[in-house]
Amino acid sequence: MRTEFDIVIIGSGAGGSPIAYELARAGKSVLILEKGPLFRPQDDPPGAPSDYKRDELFATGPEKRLTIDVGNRGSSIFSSHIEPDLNDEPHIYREPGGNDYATIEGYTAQAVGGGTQLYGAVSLRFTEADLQLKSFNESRTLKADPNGEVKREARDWPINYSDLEPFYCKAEKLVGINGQQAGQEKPFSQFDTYQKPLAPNPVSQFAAAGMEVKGMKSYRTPLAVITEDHASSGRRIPRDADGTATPEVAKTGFVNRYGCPLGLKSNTYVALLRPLMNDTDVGDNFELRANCVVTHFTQQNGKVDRVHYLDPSGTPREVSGKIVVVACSAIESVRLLLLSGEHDASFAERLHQGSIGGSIVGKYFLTHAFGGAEGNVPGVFDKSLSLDSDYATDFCALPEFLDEHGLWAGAAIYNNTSDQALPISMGRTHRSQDLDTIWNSFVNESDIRGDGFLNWLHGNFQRGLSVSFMANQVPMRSNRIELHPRVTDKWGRRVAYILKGWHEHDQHLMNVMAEQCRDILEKGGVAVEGHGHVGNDARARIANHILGGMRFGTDPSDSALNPNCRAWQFDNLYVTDGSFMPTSGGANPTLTIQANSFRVASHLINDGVV
Amino acid sequence: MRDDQYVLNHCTTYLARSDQAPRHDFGFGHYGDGDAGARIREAWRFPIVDSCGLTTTGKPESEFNDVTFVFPDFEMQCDSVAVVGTFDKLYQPIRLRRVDFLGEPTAYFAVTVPVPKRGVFYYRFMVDGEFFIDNINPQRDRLENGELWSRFFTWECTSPVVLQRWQLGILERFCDHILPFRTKQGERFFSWYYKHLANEAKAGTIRGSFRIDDSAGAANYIDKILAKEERHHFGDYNICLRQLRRIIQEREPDFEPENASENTYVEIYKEMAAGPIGDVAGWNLSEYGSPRHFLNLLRRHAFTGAFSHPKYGGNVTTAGWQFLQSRFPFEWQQSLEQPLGTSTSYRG
Ligand SMILES: Cc1cc2nc3c(=O)[nH]c(=O)nc-3n(C[C@H](O)[C@H](O)[C@H](O)COP(=O)(O)OP(=O)(O)OC[C@H]3O[C@@H](n4cnc5c(N)ncnc54)[C@H](O)[C@@H]3O)c2cc1C
Repeated sequence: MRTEFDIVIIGSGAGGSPIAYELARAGKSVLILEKGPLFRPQDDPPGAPSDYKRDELFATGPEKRLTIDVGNRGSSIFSSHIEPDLNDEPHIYREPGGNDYATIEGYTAQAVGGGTQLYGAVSLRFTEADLQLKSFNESRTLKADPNGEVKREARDWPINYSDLEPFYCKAEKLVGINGQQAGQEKPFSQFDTYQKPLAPNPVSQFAAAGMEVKGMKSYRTPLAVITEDHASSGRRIPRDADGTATPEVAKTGFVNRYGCPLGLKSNTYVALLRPLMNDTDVGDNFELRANCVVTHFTQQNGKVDRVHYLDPSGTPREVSGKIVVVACSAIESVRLLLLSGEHDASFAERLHQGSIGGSIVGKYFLTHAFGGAEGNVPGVFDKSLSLDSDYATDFCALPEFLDEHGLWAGAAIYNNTSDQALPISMGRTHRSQDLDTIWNSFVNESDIRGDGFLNWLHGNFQRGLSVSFMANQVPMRSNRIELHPRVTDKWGRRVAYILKGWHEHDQHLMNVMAEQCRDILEKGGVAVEGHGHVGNDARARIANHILGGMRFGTDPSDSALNPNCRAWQFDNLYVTDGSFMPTSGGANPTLTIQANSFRVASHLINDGVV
Repeated sequence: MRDDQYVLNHCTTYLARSDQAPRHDFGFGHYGDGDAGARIREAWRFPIVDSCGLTTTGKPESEFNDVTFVFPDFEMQCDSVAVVGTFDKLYQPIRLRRVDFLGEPTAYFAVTVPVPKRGVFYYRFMVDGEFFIDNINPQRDRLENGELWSRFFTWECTSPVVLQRWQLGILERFCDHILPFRTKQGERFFSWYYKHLANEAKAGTIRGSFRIDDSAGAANYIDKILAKEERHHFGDYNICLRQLRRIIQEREPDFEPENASENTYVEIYKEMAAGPIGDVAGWNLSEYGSPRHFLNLLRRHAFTGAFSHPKYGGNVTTAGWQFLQSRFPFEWQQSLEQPLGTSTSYRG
């Protein structure tokens, strides 16, 4: 068993895989240690059925009960087959009343591919301003910021849009994304980064119409789903009996929260890692060890010298890498670093060194300020034959819009197409905002029975349309990830403890954006049933866009990572999942995590780091 | 044949751990003291019942499940493990292999066997010559000869596993009451549907034998989920169905409870749903504190059973989905594997 590599990467999701792809192809020896299973799509190996299924009970499985000693002990939990078990390894958050609750929020997925296995695959770029929010706001007047915190806490990224842009192009091409450039407010240096979008689901026309009436330029939402053969990953669109490609088979209600059995959704396994494994030039230079959880690092003189992990039997093992890349998703990466510090005092000393006002590790944890509106369209449409979204607009990121509303940052707005497209997903998410409260409303509304059930179906099934916004959250030092003082996982390791709230300006921004979403639907002819945002829900403060906590920057006293995502006090330790972000961007984060990971790979190769 | 990677993928997160606390005992007598299952995440997943890859029998894969038996040996002290059971050549031992990781032996022994769908089966492990039941799988049954055996069932199983006939009968009535199939529109659909099934049966085009009721097999689904994934709710059902039987009998002494009048079921449903805990005349609250809690559980199960993938035992012959399709644009067949659906790319 090989124990020495040029690069050891922890986590095979959006932040880890692009580096593996680039470095293994550059002739370096690369190991990925991934905690979750290597669930494979159909015919991998040939003839084998898929580990991912079009089965609603895979997305939100049977009920379990929370047994650990926290405030919500005894409550029901429902998780996907590739999310961790809350009794084995919960995330704990402190609710406003001061009680500690366990939650599944804050986990993306634990499998090879990480969150990209379950994601809705909405793959937007951030805007130029998203990366420069400090400079952008310097001379602006903001509402709902009486103490000037927003301007004080806003940060510029240490790179700007033009530094990242070539890597957006690279990510879009290598991951395999369909979409439309025209209509976006972000510059593209290459015209051919997207595959062709499929025809939209007819239900989305109401959102598109609403955007048009409001004068919002719209475009087809970029989605990480291939619609044409994808040469770099060797994926082919299924053919019919005549040999004609049938890209429409990707349209199914089993998109968001489901792994794709056909490998058409561009998760990092099928897009990047499997091609490496099949590349004879790469050969033994790339190894993927699934079902291996990294427990801690040790260091000597500023170099991580050992990566300690448990193999599939739970047996402790070690490897070493000239470079070590942490990409466990923000909460788990911070946790892994903090736990390493508990094992090795010299590690802790370096990790926490240098920042003003105490360690910055785990601080400035971010998610997205998000929310939207939903309603019923006139007519019924088969939403079960769709991808996750059809139309998006950058209108609410335009400077004029932000000035008009006194906002520090903008949002992407897009319609959701496949939500509640299947019967059980409609039942379990009926009036539910988050993963911890699903089923509650349906089971309690006992009038939904017999004719009442039929009426409820007629009122909701294949009629619902929602529009969401995704916006920057104001960075606050008090929003943070720590180790829980008491609760441990099934390995006896302390679990992550999440403390997080919203700034007054976030609430203002979310009110404005939710109102825009409501208006889009209304102008599009949709009977709006509700609109709102996560600002009032403690659990959904965490959700599954988990960012920050190890932000990068140019000043070691104000950031945990340098501009190349290397931990300031370590020579060979990099962090490339969503935790590097100093601000969370006005769009879904995964494409930006991937692009940044390609950027870091390019630095490692071209600057001769390894 | 499933490779070692498959076995590790389906074992590690559930079985590997250092903490031996009963983190997965949800109470209600779910596990006995010291039962290994309480220490394991989702012990019900074992043996692993999955879609079938390739059969060597020449019969279609869709008629089989791949069943992977796993025997963990964290102390690494066993030499030979075999499984004997009612699923293959009767009681002939099938050897499990030691699963490797990077060329080294792991804690897991495993073997995959194709087993016909729609059946209930019994097995034991033979470890270094001695018989044991499966320590992980919580499904166990005492056979007629008094011996304790481990049990599993394959997909689309419609024989009752843990519930008795009278329990299923009462459940069917409640499921009918909750689900939209006993409405005028539902009845119209089902009369068409039964005719259609009868024609198919005549033509020999429907698969297997099944027992269908108006609730699209939701009660059968509940039997399966209580045997397996939500075994911790078996106690709720046992207690509450016993109470309901008594209460229905008190109100309609001339009928078997499952044949009591519609009106009685309507009234009891209303009473169960009344107020925060329910208010059912005759309910013994000291035995079960909230009939409403039970109703909520039943509502979730009825819904899930009627509309989930038929492999779980409900939505028999896709009746639930076909009902939806008769009222809404819902081309579910296009996404799903044959022979349930029509997808030419996805095999299930
Ligand atoms: C249902 C859902 C829908 C989503 N939809 C979208 C969307 O439409 N668009 C979008 O941009 N984003 C979406 N996201 C978010 C997206 O999944 C994440 O932004 C992205 O995956 C984060 O990348 P990452 O590298 O930070 O972490 P991940 O991709 O989560 O990768 C982290 C990996 O590290 C592994 N790991 C963790 N700890 C350890 C350890 N100790 N040892 C070894 N391995 C470890 C994990 O198992 C995991 O595989 C969605 C997420 C979910 C859950």
